Amino acid sequence: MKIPISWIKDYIKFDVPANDIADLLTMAGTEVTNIQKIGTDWDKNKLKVGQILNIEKHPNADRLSLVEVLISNSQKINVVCGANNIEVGQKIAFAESGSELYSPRDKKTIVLKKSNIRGIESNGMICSPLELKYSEDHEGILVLDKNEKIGSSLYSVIGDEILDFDITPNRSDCLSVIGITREIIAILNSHKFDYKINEKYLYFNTLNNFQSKKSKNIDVQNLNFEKCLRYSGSEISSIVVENSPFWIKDRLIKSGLRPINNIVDVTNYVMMELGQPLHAFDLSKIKTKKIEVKSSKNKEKFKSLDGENRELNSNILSITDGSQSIGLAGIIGGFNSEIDSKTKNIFLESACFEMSNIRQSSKELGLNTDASHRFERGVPIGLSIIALNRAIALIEDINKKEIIINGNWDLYSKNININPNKKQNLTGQRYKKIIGESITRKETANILNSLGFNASASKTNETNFTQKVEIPYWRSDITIEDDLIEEIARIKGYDNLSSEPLQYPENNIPVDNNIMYRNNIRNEMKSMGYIETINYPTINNTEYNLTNLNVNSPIKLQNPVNKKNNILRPNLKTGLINNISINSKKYPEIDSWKFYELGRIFNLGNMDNKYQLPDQSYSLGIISSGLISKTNWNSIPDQINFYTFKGDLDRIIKSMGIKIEFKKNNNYYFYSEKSALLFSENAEIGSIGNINQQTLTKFNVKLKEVLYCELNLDKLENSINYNNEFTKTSPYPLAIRDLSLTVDKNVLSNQISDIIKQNPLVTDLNVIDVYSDLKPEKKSITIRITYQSFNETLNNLKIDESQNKILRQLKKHLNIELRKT
Amino acid sequence: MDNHKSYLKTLESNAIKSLETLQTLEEIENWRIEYLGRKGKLSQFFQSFKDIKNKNKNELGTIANDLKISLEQYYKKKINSIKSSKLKINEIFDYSLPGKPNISGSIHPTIQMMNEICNAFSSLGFNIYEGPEIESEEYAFDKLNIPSNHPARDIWDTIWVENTQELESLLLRPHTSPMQIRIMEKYPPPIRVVVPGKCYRYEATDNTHEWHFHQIEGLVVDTNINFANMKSTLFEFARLIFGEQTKARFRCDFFPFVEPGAEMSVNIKDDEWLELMGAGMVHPKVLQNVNLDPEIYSGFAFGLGIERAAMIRFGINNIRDFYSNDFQFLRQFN
Repeated sequence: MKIPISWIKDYIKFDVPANDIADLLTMAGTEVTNIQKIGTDWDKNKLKVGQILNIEKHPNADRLSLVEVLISNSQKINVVCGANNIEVGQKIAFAESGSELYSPRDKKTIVLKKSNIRGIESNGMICSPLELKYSEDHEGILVLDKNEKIGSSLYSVIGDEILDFDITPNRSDCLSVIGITREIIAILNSHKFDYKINEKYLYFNTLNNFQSKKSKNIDVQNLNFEKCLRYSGSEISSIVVENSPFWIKDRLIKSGLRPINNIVDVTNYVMMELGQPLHAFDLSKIKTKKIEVKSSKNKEKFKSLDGENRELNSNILSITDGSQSIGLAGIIGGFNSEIDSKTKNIFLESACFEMSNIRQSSKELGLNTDASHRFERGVPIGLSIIALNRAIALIEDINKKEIIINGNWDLYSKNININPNKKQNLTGQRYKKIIGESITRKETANILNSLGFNASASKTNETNFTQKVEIPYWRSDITIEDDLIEEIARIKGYDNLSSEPLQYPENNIPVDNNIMYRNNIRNEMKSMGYIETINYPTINNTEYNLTNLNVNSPIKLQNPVNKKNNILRPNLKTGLINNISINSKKYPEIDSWKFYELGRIFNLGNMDNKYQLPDQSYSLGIISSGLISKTNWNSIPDQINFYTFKGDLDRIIKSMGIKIEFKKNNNYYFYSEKSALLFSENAEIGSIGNINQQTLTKFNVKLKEVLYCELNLDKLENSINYNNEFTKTSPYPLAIRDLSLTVDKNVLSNQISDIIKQNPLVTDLNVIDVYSDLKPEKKSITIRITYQSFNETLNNLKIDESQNKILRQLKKHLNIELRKT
Repeated sequence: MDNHKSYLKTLESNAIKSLETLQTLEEIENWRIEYLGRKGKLSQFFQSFKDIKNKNKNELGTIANDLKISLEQYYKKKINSIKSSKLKINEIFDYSLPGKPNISGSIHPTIQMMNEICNAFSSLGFNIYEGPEIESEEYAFDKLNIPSNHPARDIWDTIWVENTQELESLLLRPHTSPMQIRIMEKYPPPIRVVVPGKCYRYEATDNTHEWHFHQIEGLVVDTNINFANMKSTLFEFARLIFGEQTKARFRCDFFPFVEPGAEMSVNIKDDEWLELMGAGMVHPKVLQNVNLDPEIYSGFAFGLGIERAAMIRFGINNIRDFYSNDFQFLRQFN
């Protein structure tokens, strides 16, 4: 919302520079996001008011004119002008050669030079609003008020500083010049700046009386007190529709509104000034002579003032002529009752609509207007009549003929209080409890009264007080004592309040170890060379099908940011494959890829968790391809394969202190047969393997061998154990023996090691070689076994004894023999 | 049969001869690929093997297998001999030769920043807690004093979960604030907690906005917590993260679940004030919603965007860099 400082200065005089005012407002909660300056950098001697004396056609160009401009009592200047809205007698903005102006063509400020346009000399320029940075308009020249004095500085006529506000949703009262003025007064008062309030300002602070008067010409009814809390308006005749005077147009343009005609402009002017949206209907276009506020009909067709054809429904409140909508309450007027140049009789509406209905309707219609923006934030019920009276007074001022008021209506339910006159107690104790320092009754009264509240300004300095505070009609956001406390604190300035370290370190929140566990995993991953990625958790249907067997239906989003990606990922596969796909294409020279992600996955399944929400477990996904590490003069690194990758997983598992079982995977929709399922305590918690060629092709991965692994960390939550307990070590030496075995091809290595581990003297074992045997149905495995006893030094005899036991067990269970060499 | 046998013989002698001449590890690797690789000559032989119809197929298989084993042994020997000759080269000591690379991975900058922030609050006596990303409307809005159809909801453009029989009124949390409610419902004061986590908003992405981002929520509740405590704690936090010289200022702002509401900006260098976080005293209605008496208890809450802090901290000027997962961007954070 934009407000020119010049408008604020109608109500209050002050000398504080705009930049400082903007800063003070922002600190107090009314955020100024930008200050637009008009003319502050102009050369005041070169930009002045001129008058067009004569217009002739340019001899060499159809679209150009030769214009004679009077810029002082004695000085005439000839310029070439291309605008088509020029007329003799107009007062215009004239820039002499040498002035600095914005050039729409160059999109920057340039110095205006004497020029020769198609053979005619031009010694200056008649400016458009855009060239003056006055508005975005570059259609024609800026036409000034006809009473401006020739030769006076242009800055004194249109120069200004415009504050652009971002108003928080609770402060509907600040969506107006008067609301901002109230804030400025309180701030200037609190910071002890000089200022002087104009009486006009005080007029809007008190509620007005209103005399209802029926009219012979029309009948006005409010048939929905729930959605229309108050419907007031006047029937006015002898209206002459024309352009508004310059000062109204000037303020609307600076506030970002487009001038239309004097009647529409007055409604917008009052909306900007007081925050009350108004609407004017052309009565001659309402043939039924009825105005009824009631629900729209379902599927009713309606053409709004913006030219759009809309379909209504019964939730939307309309202003109707009894059967047809002529306006959408609080949102936009109807094309069928629009004010035009022939309009003579109008109905001027000033109403209070229920805020949530306006918000709902505006969302349904997809139409957010200056009116709906204010109504959905709440327009005070007492403001209707103040604004109506103000608008009528303005129309009286600018209408060519004397206006006649034929009728006045003020329609609201008997159950509603149009003059709420709310009160709220404020105590010194509460202020101290919340803010942390004392305040005197005198100071709270001073601040609250400067904002328009009424708090008794007792002169005592007591800090232990109870104050009854009257809340002004425009502050519907103040409902509890703490709201008053905020008012005082923000006007004092938060930076002026005291600061005090927290006292007590007591805390009932338990330490969540899972956060630490995850960071430990990250450190392990990092030390093994893996790069952490974070992917969006949304995937598309194709990706879902490539990475999931459709066991459960996925969780979908109603309004995803990217329409295609409407599924919440049930695992981390998609993101990581895309990471490796995109990066390996972008960096073909990189020969080693290691990524991981640690994030949430989303599954329907069990809603019976601690929050009664869909399952959203943390998962660890790892992807890898290429060389194990960088090539170097000293070593040629191996290719990453299933076993090197499994080694990385083993390290993670070990660091978490968990045990994981590898089981055969039979589903090859994502992995090739070189894959396995991971189990912990008989529950499936993940998988590992080579991604199959089909999946790689679909994800556009050009790498040959890509390995993937995923672990559901939440399922492991209870088995993770970082507190490795101390195990006693043996004082006796270790003995190491290699066993070369001939084994049936389909025997798994862990079947062998499980048997060997059962021997009490075996403390460790490692598979050190695997190769195919001469017999095709056999293979050879060499296992290095570490023997150690807690009781004695093991001699060869003891070791042989153990080894023979092991061999007997292996023979018995797995038909394994010692390899004959 | 004989053809196959002689083929294997020739293969063996060729392989051994060529291996002897090789000098570098790279050449040997090429040799390995040629003979023993997945698409190497021996593999090709084994592949064609299945098409051979011969009663002596078994014998042929054994020969081929033996050949494979022996070539593998030759290969290992050769590698070892080359490596030992390499060692001789090593004896010509050059301390400036690069070491064997041992490359570190990296932790995502968002996570690093998040951990740094959590650690700072830990040192101020806060514990760390987490909450769900799919939230209910009740916790994300209603219990935080943000009723439906209230314009304050415009502050959070929300991504909703599609309604089904099982799922109703669920959304991707647009802020971490629902955890204020969940924590106060579960644990009695004194409470001093920070909650890091992902959040989502329905908005277009540009240099400073992401629809997917991370926040840290903070909450302190006890019988005697006030605005002065909030100012002191958050200022101390800013100094822990951005350095001793950091200045902080507070201005009034509006969030429906706090009153008074505030926003903290920090000044790290020059005259530039950067908005860092929203904060405020827990709104009495919110305390009532979790059955805490606002006459007895008071507290403050705050929330800050982690990416924003990381951008200030690391000097990143486009928030989109965080989640495009570019290799070169990410690997810097090691």
